[in-house]
Amino acid sequence: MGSGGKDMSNLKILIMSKLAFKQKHKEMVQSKAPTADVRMALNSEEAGDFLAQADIIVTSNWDFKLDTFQKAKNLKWVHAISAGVEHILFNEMVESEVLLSNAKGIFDTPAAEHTIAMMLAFSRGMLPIINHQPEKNWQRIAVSDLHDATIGIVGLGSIGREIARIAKTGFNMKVMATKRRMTEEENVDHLFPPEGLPELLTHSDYVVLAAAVTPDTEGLIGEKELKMMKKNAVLINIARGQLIQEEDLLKALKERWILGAGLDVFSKEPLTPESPFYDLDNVIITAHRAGFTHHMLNDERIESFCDNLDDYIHGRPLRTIVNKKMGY
Amino acid sequence: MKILILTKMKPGDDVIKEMQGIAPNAEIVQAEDWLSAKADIAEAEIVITTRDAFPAAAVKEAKNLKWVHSLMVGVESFLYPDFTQRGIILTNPRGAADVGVSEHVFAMILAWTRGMNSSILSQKKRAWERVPVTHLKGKTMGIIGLGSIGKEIARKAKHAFKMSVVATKRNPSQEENVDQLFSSDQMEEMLKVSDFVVVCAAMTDETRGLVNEVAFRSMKPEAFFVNIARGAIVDEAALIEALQNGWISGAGLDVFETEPLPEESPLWGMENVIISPHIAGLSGKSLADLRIGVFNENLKAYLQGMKLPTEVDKKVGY
Repeated sequence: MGSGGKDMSNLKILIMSKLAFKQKHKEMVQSKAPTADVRMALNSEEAGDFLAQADIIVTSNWDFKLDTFQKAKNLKWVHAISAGVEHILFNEMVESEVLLSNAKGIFDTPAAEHTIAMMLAFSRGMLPIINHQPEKNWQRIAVSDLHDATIGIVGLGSIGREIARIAKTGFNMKVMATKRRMTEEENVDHLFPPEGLPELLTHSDYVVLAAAVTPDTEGLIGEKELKMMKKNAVLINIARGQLIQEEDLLKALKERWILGAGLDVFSKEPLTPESPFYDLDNVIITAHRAGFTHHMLNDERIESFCDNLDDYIHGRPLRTIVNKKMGY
Repeated sequence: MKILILTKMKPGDDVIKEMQGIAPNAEIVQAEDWLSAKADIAEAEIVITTRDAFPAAAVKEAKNLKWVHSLMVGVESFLYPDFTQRGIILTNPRGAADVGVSEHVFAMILAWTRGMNSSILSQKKRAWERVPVTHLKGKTMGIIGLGSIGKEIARKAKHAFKMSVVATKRNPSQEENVDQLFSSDQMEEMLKVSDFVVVCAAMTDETRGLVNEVAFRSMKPEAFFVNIARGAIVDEAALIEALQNGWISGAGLDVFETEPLPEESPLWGMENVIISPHIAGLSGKSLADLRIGVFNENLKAYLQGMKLPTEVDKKVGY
């Protein structure tokens, strides 16, 4: 028995995702909650009647829709195995008593390394170098330093913090960031509330988008914001395509309001071959790779759930709970 | 205190401003040749210069001279008897390239681990390809030749990227940011455990052809090899064989046996190779600014009466 009068002895836990979780992942969960009924399914059809009985559903941002929610009549908690949860936050979910947690933290290292990789690709001329190679072209190019340059991180969550740490301790950069609630931050020189965005944009050599998509941040970067940026600044987006008004960004890149952009995410993925982003010579495109590494992080995703499950069983607040109204 | 910058090099305003900020009371003067600056030479406590701009005769006239900062790293021929006899301090600009080179090394390594090179080629074909990626944290960085550049790479690897660091050094001693240090003749032992191998050694008779077939065969098949030092330290034929036969997974190369890299080199056509045209040593700053930047760091120590970070040991010559 846990606290709060909840009966923990016959918890029903459903792991429902297109990602191929294995028997060992089920066992990891089972070992945290030995008396629970733990089942796995690829989707709600496969889950069958168990969906209506499940107390807890472990699922992804893309696999949990309104109709699933409505069928899950006994649901108390949804754990997302992604960092972003924007697709789960339909009104009915937000207004309900159902808890929501996510896998924040497990993507920090790859996402931060991907961000620094993109910044260095611009500063050390990797785009022309790699494009020149098939032409056997030994053309020396100008380079710049990250050292002493300014990075502005829009949305300082756990990924943003890891980017700040590498930028500061490794590359001696000046670090600016925006964040909803003001906190003490070790590796940030100037922390602004969201209204401080113009200040961050005007001073940064690298602007990195690391915010969650919420009604407040959708389309956050448009013509006005792009025009505030330095002419030699680079915009990096490793968060979500919806943060950017893409028509405005295309114009900014074509007309060189800014130096370039490193884009890992787009409003519609995959990009189709007709995408005008492919026509630009000042863009580096990666195919939504930032949060990933050589494996699918499935172990880490389940570990992150198990940590929260431990909290749930012992009546503690979930360590990666999402504030459904704020969206992260 | 008078500081004389005696050189034809043109330092930028920022680096001079920085110097004035460090020593607000100093009088900073610039001149191109010593004959037209005799009065300044007689008064100067510090001269920033090169051997050619500051001959032995000029040093004799510099009655108040306490410290010379050479704008060249090599100072053997600059060590006039006056320096030792009068106890004049000599510093050089070693370390000036550390920032640029170490950033270039990580640019290449991260371009490889994050699939930037294959993504850029996909982009040309307008294709959305989920290329393989991996991360650095927890992997092992192996540094051949732990000098000042190698130490900066070790620092970034250890602190920023939380990697393990191994290195070879002629005289292995305790080193900050290095988990295991090997002597030069234990290089193969180091190569066996490294996920990334970076050549940072100086070009000497001992290091010519140092990284040969045996060395490449010692490396892990998944290892990524980086050379930002000198092409002649690596046996290029053995490197090509290693890349073709999968003894290693890829390479980031900034230097070659022959530069520019000849068109017939098979390296150009390899998709697991990133070729940069000998630019690792470049920085966003000019050479003069980088080297005077090292002076500024020394000046801070000088004003506090501390040992100067890049002081030259006049007996050894570096």
